[in-house]
Amino acid sequence: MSKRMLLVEDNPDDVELTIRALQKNRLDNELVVCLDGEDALAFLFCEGRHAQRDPTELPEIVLLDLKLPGLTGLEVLRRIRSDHRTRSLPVVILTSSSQDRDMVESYALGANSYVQKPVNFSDFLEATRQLGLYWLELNRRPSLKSKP
Amino acid sequence: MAKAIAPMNAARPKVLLVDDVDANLVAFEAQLSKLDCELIRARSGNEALRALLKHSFAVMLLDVQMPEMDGYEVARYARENPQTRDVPIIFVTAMHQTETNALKGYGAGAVDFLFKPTNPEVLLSKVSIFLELHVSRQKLADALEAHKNTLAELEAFNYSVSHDLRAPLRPLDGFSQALLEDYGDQLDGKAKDYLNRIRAAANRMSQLIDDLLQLSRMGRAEMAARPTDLVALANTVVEELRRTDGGDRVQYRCIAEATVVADGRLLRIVLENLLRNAWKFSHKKPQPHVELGCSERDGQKVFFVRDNGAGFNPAHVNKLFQPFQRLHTDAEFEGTGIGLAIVQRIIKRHGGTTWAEGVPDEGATIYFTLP
Repeated sequence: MSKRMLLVEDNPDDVELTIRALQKNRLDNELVVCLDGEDALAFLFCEGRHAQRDPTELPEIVLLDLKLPGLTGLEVLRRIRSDHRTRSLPVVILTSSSQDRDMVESYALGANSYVQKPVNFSDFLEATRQLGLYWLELNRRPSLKSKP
Repeated sequence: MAKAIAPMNAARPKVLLVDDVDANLVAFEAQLSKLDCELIRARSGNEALRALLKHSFAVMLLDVQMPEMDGYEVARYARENPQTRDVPIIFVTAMHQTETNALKGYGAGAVDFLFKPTNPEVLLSKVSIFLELHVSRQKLADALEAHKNTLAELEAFNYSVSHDLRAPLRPLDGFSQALLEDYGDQLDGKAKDYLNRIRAAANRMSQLIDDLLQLSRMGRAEMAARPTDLVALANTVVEELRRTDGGDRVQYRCIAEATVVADGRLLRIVLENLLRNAWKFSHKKPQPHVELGCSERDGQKVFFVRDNGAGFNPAHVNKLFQPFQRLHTDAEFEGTGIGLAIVQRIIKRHGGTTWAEGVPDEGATIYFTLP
């Protein structure tokens, strides 16, 4: 079975903490990590080092950082939304920023949710628990094989 | 040398002289030679309009009687173009003074007139007034531009604070907690205490960043002032405070109703900060009281929030509204010291003022006005 969560995050500390938080919520085996936007898009569209991946298997949820080297999170989101294969893929923005501007732009580009990464790890743990519960358990999406 | 002079020349205000008679142009130039300005000649209406598009002028001296296109026509064309609309015009005419009604249609302030033969003194004083006006307008525009740049820099700075300063705090808290959880059995009490101090410091820093951003947002947030019931707004805050730990012990008193013209969202932040402070500083008292009141000073309504709590030393009253200035230790009362700075900034933006009175251990009163 394929991994159900894609984390796009360049900061190794944040990657480690996210894995730890998912471990605590028994969700760590669901996670694939891309360290920048280019790699995330290559993963989703099965290009480059991800060419062997089954393109019909998309994650249930993309956790997307905004501040990434090279392609920014917003640019990654724009590319995800402009491709028919990933147009309806749920994307949660996971960022340090609490700026209105970032929220407005994220939603305008079609983000499904916007979560500010809490500094306090206990709060972060709770945030990942809720994200996992909602997007992996509660939320329903059509099967990829069925055409719209 | 020439290089050093060039930028000065460029900054000198320009005056456009429009007359079809060369002798008149020479006479104008002679009369205006004392002024610190650059004189540019135009011998016809068409030439004048071309010059207007090419340069920015402090004023133009415009001969009325010219062949082909007369002065009024030049003025009409100049007014139609947004780029040249605001150049002040001094018409130079041989008409009799009583006929100058025709000039009134050009709008106050931007138009003046001179009668031939022109009096050198009058010409000099009129032109110099427009030059001064131009220079001070230019200064104002420059200051506005500088202000805009500062704002943009501040915006970028805020953004960077919001993003970059917060990010390193997460591993500080997260890995300290990870050490406590995973290696707690190998750590003694002191080691655990140190880790907890690291965590507390990271969380405090995070709170400070949030407060700093909120404070700077308050200075820029868009405002929509409407009639708002201050007391009803306060009551919603009080309901929340009553639900906090020990919050229902506080006796709260308030005036019946007070409609003010203010931005409801910002006013709620004011009341939240004032009432939360009052609750915080009084709830340890045996009989805590908080009052939202209204009095009058110099015919103006003055609102206040009063408590019988910890109060403060009046010697430090001027520190009270400074951001991050605290008059109590964290052990006594938690906080970052941003609340009253936010209150002051919001009230100031509404055109009001804030001040405070306090007695140590007897209570504090924070006053504010809303025009």
